[in-house]
Amino acid sequence: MIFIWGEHMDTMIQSYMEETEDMLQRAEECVIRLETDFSSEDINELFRIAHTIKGSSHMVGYEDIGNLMHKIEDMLESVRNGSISFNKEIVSLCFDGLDIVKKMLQARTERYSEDFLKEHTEEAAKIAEKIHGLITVNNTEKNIVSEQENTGIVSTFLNKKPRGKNKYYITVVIEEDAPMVSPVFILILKNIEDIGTILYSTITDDDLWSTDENEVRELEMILSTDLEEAQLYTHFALFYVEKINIINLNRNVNEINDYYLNETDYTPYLTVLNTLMELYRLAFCGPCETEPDNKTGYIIKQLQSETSEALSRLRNKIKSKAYKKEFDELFNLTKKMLNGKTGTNQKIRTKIQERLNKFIEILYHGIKGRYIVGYIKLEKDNPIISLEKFIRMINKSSILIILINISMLDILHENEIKDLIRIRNELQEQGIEIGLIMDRSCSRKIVNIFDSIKQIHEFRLCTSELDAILGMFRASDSFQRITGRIDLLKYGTKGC
Amino acid sequence: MKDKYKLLVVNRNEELTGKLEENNEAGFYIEAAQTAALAIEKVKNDKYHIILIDTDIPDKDGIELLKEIKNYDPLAQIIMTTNQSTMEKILSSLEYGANDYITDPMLNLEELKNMIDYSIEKLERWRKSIIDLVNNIIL
Repeated sequence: MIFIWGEHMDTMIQSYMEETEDMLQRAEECVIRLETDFSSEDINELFRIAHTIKGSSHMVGYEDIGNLMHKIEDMLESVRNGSISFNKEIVSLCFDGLDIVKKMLQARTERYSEDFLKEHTEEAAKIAEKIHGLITVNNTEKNIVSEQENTGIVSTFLNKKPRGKNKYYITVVIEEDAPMVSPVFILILKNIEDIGTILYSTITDDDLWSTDENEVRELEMILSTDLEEAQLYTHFALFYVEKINIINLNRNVNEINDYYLNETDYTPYLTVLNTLMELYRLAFCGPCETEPDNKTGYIIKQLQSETSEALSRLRNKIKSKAYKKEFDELFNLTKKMLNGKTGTNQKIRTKIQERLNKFIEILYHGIKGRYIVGYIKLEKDNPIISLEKFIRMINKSSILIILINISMLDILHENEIKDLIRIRNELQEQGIEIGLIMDRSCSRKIVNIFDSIKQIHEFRLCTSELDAILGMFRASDSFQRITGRIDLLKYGTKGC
Repeated sequence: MKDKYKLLVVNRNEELTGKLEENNEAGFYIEAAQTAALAIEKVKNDKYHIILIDTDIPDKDGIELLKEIKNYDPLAQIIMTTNQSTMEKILSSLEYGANDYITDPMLNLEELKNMIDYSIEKLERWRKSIIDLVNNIIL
């Protein structure tokens, strides 16, 4: 195997040397124990070490070491699966094998002559032959090869018991110009061996030994470790690693994103939505340049106290606090606008409008797909079937709006249009508003279909989800329907 | 009006747009684009039913714009306008799917309005075939 890696290869080899020496030391300790007491734990450990050294030796081009370790690995596998019984000969072959590998490493580290190395290589080949003989003589059944599932380096890592109190989702991307990817992955795996356990990996053993030219350059894994996030980066800072992304998966960090699916959080959001709609109507279409309106002032007060009470019921206190702050500001501005002089009114109104739009966007993303607003993006294949499946799944008593993204569709056939009209009508009967989202990439065919039928079947078509929501706030018919439904859900009666 | 038709006038000056707005008895929703780039941007962001394209726009050959818009939205009804007609312009407009072609539209406003009416009729016929199909299926 020829490597032209320059200084990077030197670093790789240095790392290989250090790790292999460590592993040889551990292997020797296992054999010493095995000499007096047989234990399958030691056999397994020895097997794993042989397997790892085999892999990394091939990676750095030390075929002689790799081949010998392969034989030792085969021998140990035969012991593990019971096809040969453990005896002193095996112990002795292990000792001999480890010894010669040590010598071969030393010869390379200290740059001994080629002849000297050749001598060792020949000796290694002899040991390998002996092992081969031992396996063939004793193993009358089938020969077991070591490249079985669950025995590769990745599987070995994955099979370990999880340890560590933190969990991280880590993505590592290898640079485009890295000559080989597998050695880098192996080094990463080695680097993290001592700090934790891998619970999941997108790279399999097959990927590591694959000769495919389109190598996977991205490794994603879940690592369980005691280390903090900031301590992890060092372990991945290797040559050819372009970037790394670490996501903390710990519960205490992610608790803020918890969504309670029962009514405790759903009903406060109904009040929040109602308040936002009322404020929106006041800011965009409400009384303008008029005398202070007592009735409106009273409504605002009422809304503010209802909203504040609703927000206090939210279980997520961080969100509740942030929302309350924004609402207080909006209420103050609205009161100012209602009491203000003609000249200043418009300025305040514009300010409220800007704030409201931003806040509605934040809140929308907070509830989308969770409470009140259902969301589905239809795929090209069988869009109506997936839409119907989605509608069957959602809890229709707590959904007020369904946004359907149809940007991916090229065309809707007549039967599909028919079904869509039927579904829309059925949902409207249940008090659910429908919005269709078509972003700029949407097929013109779809636009032309809806444009053509709008005289008889009008659908609300919008370029973004937020536009769809705001469109419903602006249109008086859907505004009435939504607020009516909120009253129905909150008080069991329409209008109050 | 809820189902108002949207008309886009692509012309380097706004005289024609002004003239159409003054004589907008049908109540079209009229917009103007002075360049091809702006016209394409508008067509992609919104739905226009009738588009008047002048052959002499600053940043692109009007015929090229016709091709591009027709390719993007085949249901857009396009009328080519020009102040300097050539055989090449006429035949290319026809070839790339324009409904009509008019020389000196400012001087022939009535004729242009007739062409717009004709385009609306044509559009309505296409719409009707879609509506009929959907209605028949529903019935």
